[in-house]
Amino acid sequence: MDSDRASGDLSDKEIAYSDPSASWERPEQAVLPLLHEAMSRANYIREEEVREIARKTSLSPSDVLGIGTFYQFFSFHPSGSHVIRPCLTNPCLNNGGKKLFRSLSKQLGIGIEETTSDGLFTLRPAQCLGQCAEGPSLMIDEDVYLNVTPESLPEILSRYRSTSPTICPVPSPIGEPIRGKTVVFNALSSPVTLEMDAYLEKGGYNALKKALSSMSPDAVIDEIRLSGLGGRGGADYSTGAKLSAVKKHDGIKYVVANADEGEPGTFKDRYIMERDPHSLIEGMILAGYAVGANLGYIYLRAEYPGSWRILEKALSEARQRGFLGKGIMGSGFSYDIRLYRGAGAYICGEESSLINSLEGRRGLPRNKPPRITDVGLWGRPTDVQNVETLANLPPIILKGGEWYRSLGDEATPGTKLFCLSGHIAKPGLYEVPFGMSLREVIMVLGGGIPNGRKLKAILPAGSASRLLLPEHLDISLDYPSVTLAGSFLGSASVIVLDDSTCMVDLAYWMSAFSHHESCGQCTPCRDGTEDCYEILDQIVHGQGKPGMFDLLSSIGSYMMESSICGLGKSAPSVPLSSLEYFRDEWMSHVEKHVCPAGVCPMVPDGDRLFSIRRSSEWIPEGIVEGEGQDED
Amino acid sequence: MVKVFVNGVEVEVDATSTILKAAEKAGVAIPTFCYHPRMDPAGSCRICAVELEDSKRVVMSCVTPVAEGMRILTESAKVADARKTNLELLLLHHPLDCPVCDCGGECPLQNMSFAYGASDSRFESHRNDEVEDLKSDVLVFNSNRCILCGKCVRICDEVQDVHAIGFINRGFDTVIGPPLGKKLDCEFCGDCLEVCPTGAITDKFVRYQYRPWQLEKTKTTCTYCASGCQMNVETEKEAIIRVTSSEGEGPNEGSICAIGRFGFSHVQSTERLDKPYARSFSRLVPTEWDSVIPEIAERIRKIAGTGPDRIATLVSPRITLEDAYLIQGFTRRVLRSNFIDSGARYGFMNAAFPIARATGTLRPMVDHQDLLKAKVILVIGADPTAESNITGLFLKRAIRKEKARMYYVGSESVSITARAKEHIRVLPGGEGLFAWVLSEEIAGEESSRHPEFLAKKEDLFKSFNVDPQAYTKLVQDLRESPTGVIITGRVFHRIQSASDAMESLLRMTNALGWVEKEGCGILPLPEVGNDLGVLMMGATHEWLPGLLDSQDPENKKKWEATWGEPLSYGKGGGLKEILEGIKSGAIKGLISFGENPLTHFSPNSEVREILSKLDLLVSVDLFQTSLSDQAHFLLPAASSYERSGHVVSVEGFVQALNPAMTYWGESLTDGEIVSRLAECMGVPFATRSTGEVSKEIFTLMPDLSPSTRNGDHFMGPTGNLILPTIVNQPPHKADRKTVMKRMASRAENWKSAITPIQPEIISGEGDFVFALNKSLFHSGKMTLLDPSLMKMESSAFVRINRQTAKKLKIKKNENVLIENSYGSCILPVELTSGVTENELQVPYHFDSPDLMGLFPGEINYSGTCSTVTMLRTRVTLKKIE
Repeated sequence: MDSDRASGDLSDKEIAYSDPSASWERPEQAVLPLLHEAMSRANYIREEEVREIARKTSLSPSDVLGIGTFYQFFSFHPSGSHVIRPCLTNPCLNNGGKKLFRSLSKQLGIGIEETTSDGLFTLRPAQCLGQCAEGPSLMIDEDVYLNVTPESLPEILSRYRSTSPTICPVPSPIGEPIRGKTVVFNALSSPVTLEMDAYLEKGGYNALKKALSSMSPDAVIDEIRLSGLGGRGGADYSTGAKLSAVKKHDGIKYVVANADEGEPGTFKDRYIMERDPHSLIEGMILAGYAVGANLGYIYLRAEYPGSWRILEKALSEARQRGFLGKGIMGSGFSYDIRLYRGAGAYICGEESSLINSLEGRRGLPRNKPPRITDVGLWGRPTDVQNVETLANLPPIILKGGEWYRSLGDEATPGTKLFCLSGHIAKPGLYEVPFGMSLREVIMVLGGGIPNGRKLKAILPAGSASRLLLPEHLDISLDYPSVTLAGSFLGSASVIVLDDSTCMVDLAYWMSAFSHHESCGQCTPCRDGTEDCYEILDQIVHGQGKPGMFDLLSSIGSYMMESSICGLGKSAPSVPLSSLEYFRDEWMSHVEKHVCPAGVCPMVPDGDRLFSIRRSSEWIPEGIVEGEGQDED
Repeated sequence: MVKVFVNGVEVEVDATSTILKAAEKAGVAIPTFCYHPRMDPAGSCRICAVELEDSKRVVMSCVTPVAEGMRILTESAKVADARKTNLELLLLHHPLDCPVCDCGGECPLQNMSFAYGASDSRFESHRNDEVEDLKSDVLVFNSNRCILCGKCVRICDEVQDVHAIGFINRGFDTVIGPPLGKKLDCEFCGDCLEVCPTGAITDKFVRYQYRPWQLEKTKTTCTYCASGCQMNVETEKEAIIRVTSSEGEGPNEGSICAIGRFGFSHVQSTERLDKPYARSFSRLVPTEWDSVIPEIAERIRKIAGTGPDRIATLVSPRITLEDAYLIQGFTRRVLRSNFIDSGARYGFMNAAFPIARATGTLRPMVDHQDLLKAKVILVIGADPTAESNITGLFLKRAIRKEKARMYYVGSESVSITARAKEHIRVLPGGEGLFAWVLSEEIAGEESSRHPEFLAKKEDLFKSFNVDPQAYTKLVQDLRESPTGVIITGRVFHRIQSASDAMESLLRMTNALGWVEKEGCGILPLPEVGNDLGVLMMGATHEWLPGLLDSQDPENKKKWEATWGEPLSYGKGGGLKEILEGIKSGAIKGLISFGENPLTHFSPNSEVREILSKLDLLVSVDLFQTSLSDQAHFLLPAASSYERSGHVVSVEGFVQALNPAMTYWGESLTDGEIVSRLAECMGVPFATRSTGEVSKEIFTLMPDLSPSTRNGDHFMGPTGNLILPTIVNQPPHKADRKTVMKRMASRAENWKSAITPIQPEIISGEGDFVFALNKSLFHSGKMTLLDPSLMKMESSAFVRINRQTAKKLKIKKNENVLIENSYGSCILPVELTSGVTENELQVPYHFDSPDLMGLFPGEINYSGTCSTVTMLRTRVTLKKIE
């Protein structure tokens, strides 16, 4: 037995931490921050660090390891000085990502989870870096690179080969600003971050001033309800109703901003956080005031180090100016916001997984009921809202719910940030009033399909949505209409696919993504994603049989019916809708063993890009079995 | 309450019930993998799907609450389809190695596949093919067979609160095992093995050695500690293969500790005595019962004929009520002696005697259910997990789930101290003083407190390092909490002032008003399986059966009437008086039933010499022991796996032992041996079979009729669990009304301040206090012969404080010399922060002569009950260069 765990005492062999554990609500909440900190030292976590973290968090080493191995950004294998994470998800993969990965792998001479012999680079996969309009992208340590080509790679890599790399000195927004007209999100047009002074100059924190000085929490909720605003993470659940559901409880409550934007093709929240961070902060304070919370969390994905730096700065600005802290703006309302960093797990975008992760646990979704609005963080009522939803609150309070409602159509009021990516002339972020047609968005705003290609299909909400076809181009973009067309508008991450796309290949990579990101808790999703992936793997490698279609359908429908959370329920969307709409293409794969688009390898030993399976063996080199049971 | 329909059957259930519980109430079995009645529902396996008739939706019954009028279908086509697909998914990658899997034949996955016909597979994929984790000596982890129901991880976290195994990785790559790729290092309770629905976790000791359907199951009670665990001893051809439990059954609810689950091999080892032996010249030679019984009878007759109180008996507290009853009858009726004692004299008597004196009973005031209701729990000088494992589990549950505030008082840290609200460290020797000060503080009015109270309290803070703030918090919490329980254990019972300290605690509970309050009281942890029962049966000089004062003529008359013969035993006495009697020559014979007094004394003592004066020394035991060297007769005893009868648990349950195998060799039970002797001596007992004796005991003492908790248990048709019905049979706890009456008269003595308890003077010299403690992996000394338990803990080691080790530059596993004027020994060290800086802890089981040699030869009898409590001695510590 680990006798130290029993006593709760600290060892004399303290590792010099700046001790992030001190500031968290409960000791175990420090586990992710401590693991991040350990990672920052050597790009992997050593055994004595696991034990040290266990002691600091009152968890057992088994608990710490269970948590650590759940998240992609933590590694327990010795690693190189720099970790390269190429985005291995659509749309990056479809936009040259495969070629880039092959070239990267060749230039370094290593595959996934391997380290170069000089100990300089380790290659690890990334599942969507949220740079979809400017892909293919990759991340080296905490630096993000856009539009990377095999040709530009050597220069990028050489920066890290020098002894004193000076990279990413100032936090600034990554990539191009929002395109086109804006109504609500004007600040996103700026190439730079709207910092405190600039934000104030444009009327920032006036909504908060208005709410605190002249509106009751109920009045705030009423205004939001009037606006018709719904959850912009994709569920479109009435924000007003959610706020009321939390407000009705007594006692401690929380507001959590879901900044774990992980849906392939989605990058809108990053734009808000990097260009207009105070709109999120002000929105969170308003939500906190409305529900009666005194603490808010921003749960930010690890793939957004730039957002992290910008938000950290913005939060400290807000604290300095008295927008956060005790008695905000002379009112009796006190509120603070803490940043909590995820560690590479798409599932944590699901609100109950997010809450578990925020409590310092494996990010497994919870069974519902109870709802998070009743039993959330630490068992307390919690308002989990998407970043975009929260950023909408200040303008709604300032200009009124009526104003916001008038922006959209009858079915869905307001506007929505659309992320356009894939085979489109002008990829990027757009603010679109609900009710605009899909055709207008793609053909007019997005400039249509480039290179003289034809539109083949559209994914309106990344990997979670069923395909839309060119025949759907005239549907109105609001939540009910897209649902009526058999798909799902979700977070409006529109991935456009032209006729060079193989729809089986698309299904294959989307199933690889689901497989990689399934938390593994429930059988339908854990085994279902595995089997869908394996079936597709056989099909794209020329091993398909027609009988597999039925199996795929039955596994898919079982997943949709019985999975715990949205991941399992939506994972079959792309493969099943692709099979439904493009059956001929699929038949060609399994009957003639020909990929009509010429994309799939179609031979058993065809290039697999990388092995999807993670290693269950984690024993670091050099540790002999049986030794080191104790740190002494 | 709401009304729901399960397959058309209307049932009324609590509005907070899940569908699964409603179905259970309707008598409908729903298959489950991840559901476990003692854990929070996970809702992850998705096999318990049911269809809601109205919405046609499929929901998971284990996590979905019922609603008024809900119409639930548990076996609709849709449900069957969902289950079939679920199983198909699981079986795609699960290896089809059932023929060589230990779980084959009792595998819920196998049973369910059979039930739902998911036999044909529409897709060929890879079968999981990871290497097994064979590093542990106890459990084998086979991740290929794992269906990730997570019950093993959850039982380790939620029930055992040990957190030794966990999920590693995520998604399809998730595996379960110990952390860091290391060998499993835990309490080895084996609960994970028990709950695993497949062969993913198997028992390494018996791997590939059995097929489950060929095993014969015997339900019986474990006698190692007094938790009273109900277990299934599974045998094949008279050999025990393994010990399992039934979920929800018994006071243990399906959990068993390492000792109970894995510690049975020694009883079927060749070391076991299989024949009686008689000393011929200087050698013990095998003989036959037919010759040995008359021979012993004759020698007894010779000695006992000279008068009463000439022969003494010693009784192991591991024997049954029936055997103890017969032995005390034999002693008092046939030997005409009141020199009778049991292993309780080494400690537990210090709790039992004051409690029986104050309350009139040894049935506990509180049980494990009361722990779950208690707001404050004071644990003093006890390691519940090691001493009474199930008490430990309930204590953990009380803290984790019921948010009880636990205060731990003791010098060392044990596994539960980390969960204490306050760990009040009292340096060794101050425990009695602590109990007195606390009791005086709570019981006494400020004006009437003992004049030395403040000085003594100061002494506690100054000399024994008690944290005044923590102490004040405890006092306040005890005063203000509506309900509370005090748990005392081995260390507390073995301090020299233990009987007075227990009296202080009794006085305090009285002052707190706990005597009247249901759910409040003291729960003393017995050291061995039937400590309570053996005392209740009068296997001690103080009491006749039924805790009646043995010297009271009225009580004597009662039993004379029952037994139909006059009783002419003398004053008698316990271990102290027995040894003195032998020394003076007044006692000429000693019959020891499973006891070996030699191991409880220092080799420097004169005990061996004293015993050599005996004209007759009979040792009845499972094995040859150091006592055998001096014995004139060595008789083979049947083990608790071979006996029937009853034992009394820490909670007061009277539970049955059932023989799982026939007697080893020619061994007999202690009861049968004394019955044969009695018959041979011409005074045959009227009742002699265990069944007859049980009947006599239960007729004469009806409150001892068998009782247990969670008696019923049954399985559904697909191998799934159906919740056990909670049955709490005859009252097992003390009757509060009677106790109140008795306490009221005892409380007369407590009106004025009672004499302070002096701090303990620890023998020996040196800066360190050397103490013997109880291990999680051994029970007494017998288990040192158990090969399985020896794999978990094989030799003595000394636990020393980390800081101390640093100062003395001692590293883990290095040998140290422990020495005082009485003796010395060399032991390897284990470092911990769990003991105070000047304390050394050694598991007492390994008390070899050189270890016991650290104690003074002079025998020190302590307290009201003249107990012999070898607990601690002062020593010096040196690193061996």
